[in-house]
Amino acid sequence: MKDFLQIKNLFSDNESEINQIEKCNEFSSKFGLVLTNEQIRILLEERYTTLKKYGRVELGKGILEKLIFEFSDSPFIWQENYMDTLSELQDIFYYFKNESLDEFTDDELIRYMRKSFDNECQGSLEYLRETSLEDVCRSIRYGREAYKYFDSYDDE
Amino acid sequence: MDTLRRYEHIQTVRNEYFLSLLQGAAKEGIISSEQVKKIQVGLLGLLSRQIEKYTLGESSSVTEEKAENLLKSICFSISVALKQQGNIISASELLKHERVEELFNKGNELIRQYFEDSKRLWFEIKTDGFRTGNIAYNSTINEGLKEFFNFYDYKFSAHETNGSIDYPLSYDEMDLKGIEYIHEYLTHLTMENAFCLHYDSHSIECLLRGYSKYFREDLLNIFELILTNLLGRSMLGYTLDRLDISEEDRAWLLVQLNKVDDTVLVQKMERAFYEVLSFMKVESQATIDYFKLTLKNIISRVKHNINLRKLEKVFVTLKEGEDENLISGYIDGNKMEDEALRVLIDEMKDCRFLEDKIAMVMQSIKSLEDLSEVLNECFFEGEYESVFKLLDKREIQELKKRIVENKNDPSSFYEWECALLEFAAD
Repeated sequence: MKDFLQIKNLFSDNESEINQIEKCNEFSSKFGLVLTNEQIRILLEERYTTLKKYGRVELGKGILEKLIFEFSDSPFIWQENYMDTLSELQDIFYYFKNESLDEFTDDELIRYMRKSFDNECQGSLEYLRETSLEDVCRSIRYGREAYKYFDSYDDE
Repeated sequence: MDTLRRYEHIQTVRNEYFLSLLQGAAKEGIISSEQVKKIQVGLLGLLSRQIEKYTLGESSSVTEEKAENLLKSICFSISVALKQQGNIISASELLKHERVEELFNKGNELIRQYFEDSKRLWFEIKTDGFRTGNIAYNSTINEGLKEFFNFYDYKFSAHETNGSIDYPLSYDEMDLKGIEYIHEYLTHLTMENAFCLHYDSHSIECLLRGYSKYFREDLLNIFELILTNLLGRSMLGYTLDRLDISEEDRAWLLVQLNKVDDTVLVQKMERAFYEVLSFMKVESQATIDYFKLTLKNIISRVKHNINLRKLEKVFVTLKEGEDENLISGYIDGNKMEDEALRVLIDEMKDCRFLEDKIAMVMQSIKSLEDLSEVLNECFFEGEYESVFKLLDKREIQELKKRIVENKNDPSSFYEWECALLEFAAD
């Protein structure tokens, strides 16, 4: 049954996904950020590898679109590091979905990632992965409820 | 006839009916590879929708384990719909022509019906009047099945059988899952209980005690023990309104059964079986078919024990309890919910006066199990006796029995347990 879940091509239409992400360029170009078709293809391929690596299944559209909309106006992202940052953010996202025991919704996790990235991480993806999110997920695993993090962040 | 020949090679598995049917039908060429692909795409579409429903649309991905579980649940629902067809031919035709979404919805509807019917059977069993001191039976009926009905989730985990079903049926292949298993379990238990209810609970308890002195704790099937003794009585030419078989009867049975070959033994036991059925006025074919499976087990047990020349555990002599009034037949009161008990214990710990604690025990504690917890956590030396005075002789004996039976080493007794043993000795 596990093999069955890995049949990505049966369900997902790669071309339409590329088109969807391409459309995001209209929005991100306002901030000087654009992805080429080749870069989109690589990012989508990476998504499948990442999902497999972290033992997750995603049958609908991925998280890339949401990441683009959330992070495009970050002062720490510019055209030269745009694709690499998205690639790393995508990996971090799926990793922390697991680490937080799926307690965060997609939107909550992305919002939290963005706030940490711009504030305490000052654009450091390494800090985001190894310190900021790690701490939150550890607390969640010890029983603290996820929503409390957003309340406390919003208060700040 | 042609159709029959085409389908006869398909081997299906009861607990994975859909997948085994699909595999078999594809192998035989009844379902084309195009249709198999269409079914797979349909399944993925269903899975995608189920993931969305499960995460309330708030997460685009789930863990592989969760996805696998959701997929198993989908396959279970489809299996239920296909099994409803009654045979492989109609099931394969349905699988060929119906969309998987439709099958899934049909399956869910059937699961809902099974659930309601199982709940009805459970209520009937709880009120059918059959009472026993066997712990596995009581915990299965009162706790295990309750847990199942409280937590069964046909939408996302239809194939899961939560709740601990400890009491063994006389024949149970355990090759079903989820509501299908529970429905079959309860149907068969109803048949067994209707049979057992022909005898008073005292005789049954004596029979169980004769079988094992740990009959309360043992995982045994009551119906099978009764049926075996009745078969013995029938072969002895006795009436079937009682259950007893004496030592001499057993010796006679051993001699009689030992001198015949296997075929005659089977014939003798089958004749006895039908005599028992006609005495019990069992007419339902489903019941007879189920009991026949038990008979098969009994026959092989009898054969085996004849070879060992030991029939004590097969045809059982009834045994009265030693101190019937004091020890056996004690039925504990209702246990409190864990959380409510925790709140009560916390409140009692805050109490400074013994009178208040005693009043709380009198008001809230209805079972010896809860009382043991409270004694352990809320009372101190010098206070225990006031609690023990609230109990009658039967309850004191039962508590004492539990302490002695559960712990071999006196040094591991709690303070209150030592106090109780002293109190009971006075």
